[in-house]
Amino acid sequence: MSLQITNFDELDTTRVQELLALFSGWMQEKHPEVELSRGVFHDLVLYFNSVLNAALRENINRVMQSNSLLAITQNPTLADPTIVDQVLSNFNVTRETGETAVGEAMIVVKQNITTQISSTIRFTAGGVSFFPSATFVGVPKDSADSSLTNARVMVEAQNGAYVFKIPVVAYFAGASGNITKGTTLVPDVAPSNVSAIFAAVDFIKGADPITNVEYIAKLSTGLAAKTIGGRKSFNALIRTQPEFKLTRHISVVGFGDPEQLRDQRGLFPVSGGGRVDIYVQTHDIAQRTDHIVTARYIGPSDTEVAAAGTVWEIAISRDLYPGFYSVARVAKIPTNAAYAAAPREYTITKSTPALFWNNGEYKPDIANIFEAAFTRYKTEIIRFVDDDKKSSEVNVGDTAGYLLTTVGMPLIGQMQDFLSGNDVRCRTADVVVRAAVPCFTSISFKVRRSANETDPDFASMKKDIVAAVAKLGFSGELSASTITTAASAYLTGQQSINAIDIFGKLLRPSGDVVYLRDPERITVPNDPANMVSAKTVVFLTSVDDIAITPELVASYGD
Amino acid sequence: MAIYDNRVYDFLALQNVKQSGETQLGLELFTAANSGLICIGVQKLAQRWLLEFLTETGSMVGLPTRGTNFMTLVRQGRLRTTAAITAQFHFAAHVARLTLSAEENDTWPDDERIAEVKLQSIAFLPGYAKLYVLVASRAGDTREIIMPVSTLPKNLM
Repeated sequence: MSLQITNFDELDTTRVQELLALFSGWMQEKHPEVELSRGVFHDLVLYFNSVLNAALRENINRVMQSNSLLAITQNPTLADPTIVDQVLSNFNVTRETGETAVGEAMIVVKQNITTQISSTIRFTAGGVSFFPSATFVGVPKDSADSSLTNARVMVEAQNGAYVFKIPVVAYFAGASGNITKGTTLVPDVAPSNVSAIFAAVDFIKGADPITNVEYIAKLSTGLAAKTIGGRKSFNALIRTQPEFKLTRHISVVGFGDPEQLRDQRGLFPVSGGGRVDIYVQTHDIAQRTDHIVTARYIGPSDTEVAAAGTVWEIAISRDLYPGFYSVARVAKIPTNAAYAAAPREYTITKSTPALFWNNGEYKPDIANIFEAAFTRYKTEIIRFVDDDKKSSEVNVGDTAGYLLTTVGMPLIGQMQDFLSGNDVRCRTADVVVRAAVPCFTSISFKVRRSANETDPDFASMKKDIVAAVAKLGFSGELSASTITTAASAYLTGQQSINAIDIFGKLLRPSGDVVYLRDPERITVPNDPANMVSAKTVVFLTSVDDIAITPELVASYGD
Repeated sequence: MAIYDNRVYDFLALQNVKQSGETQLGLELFTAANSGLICIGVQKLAQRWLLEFLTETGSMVGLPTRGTNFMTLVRQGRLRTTAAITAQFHFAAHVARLTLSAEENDTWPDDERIAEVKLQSIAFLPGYAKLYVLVASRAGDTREIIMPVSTLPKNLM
């Protein structure tokens, strides 16, 4: 709504009549000799004065409404964004005007020669433009060019091709820039030697400008002290950091919470305090990220599995993807986007998690691998069988490049480092940041429609469902009504939704999986001994996890 | 000034009024020659009726029932014949008279209460028609008003 009326039609007619009666009364008292019924004075003086006063008072009312924190809080949709910005700036809250999405592009080149990707190049995917964050140079391994600025060493892929990754940024702010891994990026000018470019990760951080309603919801973080203390204070401290301002949900588990296991290691089963776990959902969906990693040959496969082939080992450092949930796959390095979706995968035979601390860094009290789950302190060594390479072709200790895909929540490492920083670190408790315990959720339902109707916009419907589920945060429950409410906006005529199936795969910090399934709602089990409860678990779904089946029904008559 | 004693006056909006003969009226509250005049009696009644008659229904915010649809038809260029003008004039004049009568009461002087309005004649000139209208009060006083009305749609002018 505009802060000033632009048309007399916006005026409340009752208000005009009230003012006309008021001014007539005043005139009657002061000048009883003036004609106040229909006439020149009435129509040209009294009436227009009433109309203009009504307009003025309406403008004043709107300004006052926007200036009042009470009025803004009661009805944010009525307030003028500029005024709201000014009011909330008094509480140290600033409006998020949208963020550009960021991610990595996989560059596939034909020959093992130095290849430049200019910062002026533009990539397009799904109508969204991206550009490299700088000019990058892909260089062959051991090349003298590796000393060039922003050099990226190429890794051999299949069919004689080579690949390297570069960071890219969306040209405009908006959630539409959060493209999914494997999406083809089309350059405006094809760089020489490049055969394909595609997204190597699910892009993140893209966000639309927030509305007044969403903005007001942040008021509590502005009012809360940015210090270590209560839940709101943790929330405020994290969200007011530019890097973490788009954090979706935060759950602080500390003293007295049964899910806080790190302070219950004494002889008696009571909380000792002094430990805080911060579970965060930093993105709507779990991010899938392709990494080009080096694997080391261990030995022939029959040492571990019966299948022919060779056993390789990859050490996942704690910085590869801090706090990752799981390794989705190990595969051949693909050389085009279509292949990236389903490259040749290898069987993971063994996974050995471990804890790793850097020298001199602050060490939170983490006693074992279980307590390190989904934190930046966990590393992992995985073994897999490459059944394309025979033991006769390689020697123990040889290395080769592979594609390793992780699934995780971004920014866990950065958030832990921030909270462990000397200037910020709490002196009364040790704080561990964890990716929210994930319940990977698949949703399926049918949309029934008559034969003379067209299908609704399934793609947009799926996006809205993903957004609706992402808004739940640490709610402990995903109800079918959340899904139908989001989907029903796209239904027309006689269309309806039925046969809803919600299937959740809850990955416990221990690595075990719990399955949840129900047509009406799935509820997070209360299992604090395994760090599983409504305080720790979020539901994560993506458009790929939603299946909508159109179903035709007979329609009789008009 | 004695005639203004115990009377309720209105501003004179129609300048240059003469007792007899045709004269072009100025629609202004004051002129270079005077700083505004007031009026009572049938002159006030004539102004009051003219304002009501020429106001388009719905054009006044907060007063949606005031006015007539006569000027709406004029703007649309739908009054081009004697028959059309006569019919629509009488309809609109009837509506205006009912509205004015409704706000009058017995405390009002008779020379400011509407009695009847007559369309005396119509003269057609290129692009417009002149309406000779006689406004009569209950006291028998009359005022003749000549209204030039366009016969072309406003968007063609």
